[in-house]
Amino acid sequence: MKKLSVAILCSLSLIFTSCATLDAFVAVAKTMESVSKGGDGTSAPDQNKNAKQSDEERQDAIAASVMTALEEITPEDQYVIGRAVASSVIGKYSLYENKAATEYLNKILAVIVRNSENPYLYKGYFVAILDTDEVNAISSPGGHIFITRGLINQAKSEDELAAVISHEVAHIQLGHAIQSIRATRILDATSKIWAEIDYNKGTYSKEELEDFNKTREGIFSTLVESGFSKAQEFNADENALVLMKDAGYDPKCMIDLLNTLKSNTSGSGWSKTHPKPSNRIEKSQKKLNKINFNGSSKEVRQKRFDAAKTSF
Amino acid sequence: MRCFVIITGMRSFIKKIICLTGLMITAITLFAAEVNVRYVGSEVLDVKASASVSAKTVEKLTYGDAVRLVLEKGKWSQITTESSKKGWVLTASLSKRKLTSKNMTVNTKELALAGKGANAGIEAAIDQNYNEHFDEVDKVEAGKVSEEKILLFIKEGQLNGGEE
Repeated sequence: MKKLSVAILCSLSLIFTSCATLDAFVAVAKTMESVSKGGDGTSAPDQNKNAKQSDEERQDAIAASVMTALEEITPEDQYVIGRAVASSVIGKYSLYENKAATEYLNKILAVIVRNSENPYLYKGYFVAILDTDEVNAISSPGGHIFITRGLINQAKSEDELAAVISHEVAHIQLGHAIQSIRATRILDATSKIWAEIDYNKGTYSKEELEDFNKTREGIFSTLVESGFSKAQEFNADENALVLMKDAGYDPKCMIDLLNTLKSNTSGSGWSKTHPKPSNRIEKSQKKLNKINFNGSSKEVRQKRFDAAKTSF
Repeated sequence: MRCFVIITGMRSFIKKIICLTGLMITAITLFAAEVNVRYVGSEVLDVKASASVSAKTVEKLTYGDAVRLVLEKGKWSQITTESSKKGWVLTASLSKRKLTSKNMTVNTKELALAGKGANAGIEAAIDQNYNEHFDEVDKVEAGKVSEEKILLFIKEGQLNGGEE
């Protein structure tokens, strides 16, 4: 009878919670948990006070764990961690402070994100150049994108630069950096640091600060050392092709760039953290075959690319 | 006797089902009133007069502000703000989950609307102990280009402007 009761309630909850909020879901879960314990047809007298207390604690613990498991990392948390990751990236490399070149890249970025489904994030997207010959591009979960001088110099058109930027925007929009770290770790780190900091005095405990930095280092290590998974990289490439097409950039230029990287970048940062260009070309080509691009030719933008390239 | 026990058990079971179904209907009714509420997920969000990034901004909202969803159209949502203004925002900038800024006091909210960071407190604290580069991160974030320049860039490059 108990099983039947729970089954009926499960069915009802499935029907009604298809559009329910988390709170409503947890409330139903709590009710169901209560029924499954007390719904056997017997009255409570044979349950002593301690057992009741224990049950209540258990229910609270279950509800709390459901909430924690389904908790999301807020856009604000992603931005705070993202800024810390960006600070680490700038610490490893240096910014290449070239106003004209940086503005050119930010214009390309602005066009890509305004045509995407998520142009805002918490504070938007930004792109900067790293002063190194290493061929690489890195993005923080806070919307910061870094492209090395080495990679920029491989590009032969604005559309190829758009391919690099689109790939990084895709990583951000797909939440790959955040996925590389256990969600609970990020939540722990950010909630503790927020809770501990006294804004007037700027004080905090060493332990909380270490938690925050471990999280930042975990993401930084993924971005710079180990890289994302191959599946995430292929996924970012496929999404980048759509971002390019939506912005009006020729997605075929992604393949052009990968062909250049195939022959020029063995052993660099890019090749360490990304799958082989030949594999990426194969996967991207399959996706490209399904994309119908009606935009203008890359030649339209070649003159301004050539002019901008003199400042790289 | 056995029959009596079964009937009593059935009655108890039916009572429980009626009671719990009632509870669920009450919960769902209460929830339905809140089903269309969304929360702003960006530090600052422009509410547009129409479903276009280049449309006129009718109101500026900040992180955690509640809005009421009227309808969804493509990647845009029509909303009503707390001040009863109707407008359009990108659906991806809204969250179904209630968002409350941990750092958005009245002062920092004003700073956010003025385009300054709301994260200064946390970073001042971290910066004291680690060799940080937040000043340079600020420079990176300051690299955003004006709307006027972007529109010209789009036109000259025959690119898309983010319209539906």
